[in-house]
Amino acid sequence: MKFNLQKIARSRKLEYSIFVFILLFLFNIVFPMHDDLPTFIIHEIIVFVAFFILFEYLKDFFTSKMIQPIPLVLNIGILAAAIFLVASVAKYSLTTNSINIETRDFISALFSVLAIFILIGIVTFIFSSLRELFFLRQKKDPSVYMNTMLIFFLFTFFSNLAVKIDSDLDFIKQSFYVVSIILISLNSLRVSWIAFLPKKQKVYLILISVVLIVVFSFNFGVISGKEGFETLVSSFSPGLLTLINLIMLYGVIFSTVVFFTTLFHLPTAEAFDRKSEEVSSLIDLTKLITQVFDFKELAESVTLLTSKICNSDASWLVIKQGDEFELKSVNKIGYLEADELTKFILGQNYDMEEGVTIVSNNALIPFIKNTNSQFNFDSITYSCLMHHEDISGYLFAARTLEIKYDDDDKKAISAFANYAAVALENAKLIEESIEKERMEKELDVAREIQQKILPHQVPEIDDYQISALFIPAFEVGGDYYDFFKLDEDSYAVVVADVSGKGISAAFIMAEVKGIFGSLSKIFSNPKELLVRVNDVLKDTLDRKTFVTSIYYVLNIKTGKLSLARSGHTPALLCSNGVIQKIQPPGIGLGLDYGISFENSIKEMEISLNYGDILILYSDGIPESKNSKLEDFGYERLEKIVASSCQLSANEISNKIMTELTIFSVDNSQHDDITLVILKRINNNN
Amino acid sequence: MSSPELKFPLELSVKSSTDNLSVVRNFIKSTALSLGYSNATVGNIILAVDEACTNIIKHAYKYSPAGDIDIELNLSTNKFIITILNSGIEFDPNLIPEPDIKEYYKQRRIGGLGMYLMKKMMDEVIYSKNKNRNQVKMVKYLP
Amino acid sequence: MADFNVNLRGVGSVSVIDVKGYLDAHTAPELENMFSKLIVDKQFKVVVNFDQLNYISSAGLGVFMAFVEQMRDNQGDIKFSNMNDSVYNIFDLLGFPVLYEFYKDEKEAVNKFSILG
Repeated sequence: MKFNLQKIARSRKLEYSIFVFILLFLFNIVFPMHDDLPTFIIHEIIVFVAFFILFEYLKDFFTSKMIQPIPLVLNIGILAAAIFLVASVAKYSLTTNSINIETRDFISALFSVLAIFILIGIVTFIFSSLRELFFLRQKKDPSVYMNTMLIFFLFTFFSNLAVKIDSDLDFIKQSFYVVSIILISLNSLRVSWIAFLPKKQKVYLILISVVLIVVFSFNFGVISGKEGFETLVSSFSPGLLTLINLIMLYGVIFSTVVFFTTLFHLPTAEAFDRKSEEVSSLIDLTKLITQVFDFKELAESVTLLTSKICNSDASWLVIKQGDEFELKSVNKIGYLEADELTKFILGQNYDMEEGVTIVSNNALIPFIKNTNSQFNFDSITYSCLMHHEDISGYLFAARTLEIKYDDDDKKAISAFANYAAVALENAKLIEESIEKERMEKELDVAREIQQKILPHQVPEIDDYQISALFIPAFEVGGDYYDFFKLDEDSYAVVVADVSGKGISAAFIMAEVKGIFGSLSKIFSNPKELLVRVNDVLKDTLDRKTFVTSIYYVLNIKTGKLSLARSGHTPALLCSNGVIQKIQPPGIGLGLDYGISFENSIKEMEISLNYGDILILYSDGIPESKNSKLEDFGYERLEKIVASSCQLSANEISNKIMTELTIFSVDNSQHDDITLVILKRINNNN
Repeated sequence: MSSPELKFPLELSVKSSTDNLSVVRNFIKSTALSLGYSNATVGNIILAVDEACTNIIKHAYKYSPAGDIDIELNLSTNKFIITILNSGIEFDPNLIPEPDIKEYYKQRRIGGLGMYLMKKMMDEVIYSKNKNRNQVKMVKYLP
Repeated sequence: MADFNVNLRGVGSVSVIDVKGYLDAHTAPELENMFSKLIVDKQFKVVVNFDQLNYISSAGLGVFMAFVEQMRDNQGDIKFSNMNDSVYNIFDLLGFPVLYEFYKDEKEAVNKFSILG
């Protein structure tokens, strides 16, 4: 029957319970007196079944809930008090109204049956609650002990039948009763859940258990006494009286055990609290490791948890940045104070036993003397954060009260520091890799823009050699060059350099190209063109960005060219082996607007003879560095050009690049290199 | 090319003359304004630095105008840090009590208000030694 | 220094001091001299008009602390008027309103003296 019952759904069990209780009620109406043996036996069976089904229902009811021990114990207490109340009321009404139990009338029968139903309900609920506490925090399944006890309860219950048949058989009941008590005592010892309670709840539990002992003892006394209440229940069902008796006894024994166990656990309660705080902080941290990738946020959480973990009033975190330790986050301490304390403590070079140490009040006195009165820490402990055998930072915790840090605290903070180090390192790596990926993406885009902007081939012009060379730097500088055919006789050449690097420089470059492209066809005068370009740029450049440029318009027939410069590196003119710097004044585009820009620009006229070379280049060439960080410089460039006047434009370009590569072989290229060479040749010769 | 952005750390060194208080105030004012503080907060920061320097002139250098006051302004995450260094007489900040205006009135004692104002105006103030010099560090959290 | 200015006016039996500009440790002695002169001249009823004062530091506050008792011992007082919010906040922070009377308007402050005789 029991196994079948377990399979029945909870709602069905409730239906069954109600059904049995109705049956029991009807039975009592029909047979108000059940003194003859058959009705007595049937009645006893119905009573036990009622109790058992209700118990089964409550079992399911509890498993569907999260069990918290303290509320459960409180419930037991309240219900025990309710029994106390019911017993008192019953006793009072029985004695004052002197209802003759032998001659029950219908009303009094109804009254007593209802009172007993309430009693059964309460007792069953208490028993179920005790059962839940019994199962709480058990590692192995102890149901066999509980079931054995239940079976003996059953035996004791029905042993009343034997007494009914022959009062000499009382010893059967007695022996079952004694065994039941032994089982109750054994089962009451299963209170390991007490150890897991926080200190506050333990103190609370002691108080409740005292109350429980008193209430249960009183109830037990009432049940086993010969007063009215006892007679009422006994006349209803002697078995029920025994059962209630046993459960009250269970309550007394259990409460006593709880009281003493809690009392013994109290001294270690604080240590236990800390341990559990430590464990939960570690769990929190593990969660953070997987969820928080933001370094700053993680650092804040680490200090917060550090305070919790070793019961501290303040905590802070320093991380190694280059050669220095930088304060990353503080919890309940000022930034300056934490910073000064860190410097002071790390300056003392304490022995770090297993990466953790405690700084006592005495050691802090010289520091306190030097700083302001806000300082009131009594004991400080700190632990290294390790990363690959290196110290990557320190985690500090401080207490204001006179509770010194002990070895347990040391262990706690050091264990926590180990986890924190991993978490922080992890976050740092993720942040770095995200940043790196972002930069690489940006570089790809910037390179792509640059590729599209620059001309894919140089114009072919009779009597002229043109060579254009562009070498992008890793980071993508802002170099730009272009050729525009203005009309049949004239070409324009521009070399420009946008300040800044990366994607923003690339975008400005694209814009500069558009502006030069469209305006060069309208304004044939270089100075005027630059002024117009500057006007247009006014709306797009922010105050930090500017563009240097050099621009000339060449008449291919005459070899005459007019050139204007806005802050760019000067052009080089090589005529018969003589180098001339072409450096008309002019400030960079975007540095100033309106008339002051226009006034700064001066135009220059040059006449190219056959064999003459005009070289435009970006500052990437003179500013290339060797391993000693020396500049390639203008002089070196001029020398190379002077010595290679006889060569073709392409050959000169190659020569410059070869020399530059040799010079800066050990140093990576930091800026774009642009080199545009124009040579007038006489093809008729 | 001149950039409109300030490059931290910014430094200012003045002699310990009360003449220079206005110089210091202007230095702090321009920097603090560029950091986006409200006018009221800028006023508070200026007052704190003025009080710190006044204390140095009065107590560390005993009104001798030959001493050095070095001010360094720094930015860190969320924080504007002001460090003021002097090589004068060291004074123990712990000895200066919180001011009680009624007590002052009774005792006819003037002074000590400066340190109180500094603490009120700034988020953090700390006194310490730095390479044998006296150092006051103050922090105002960024807006 | 041009940063600070004190000016003395007589309104009936009350001396009104107009302070202007920046009152700090450098300029406070000027105000101190003014008060010393008033003591010599036995002018103990003083109203300080802060209308044009932009800034005050504790050195400036100290001047009022130094002279107020002498004024009061001689049936006079130092009263403040026309203070802007930022300057008042400093006075307030140091608890001055407990010991000094602050008025929105100079006239109000001056009248306070004449009512009391």
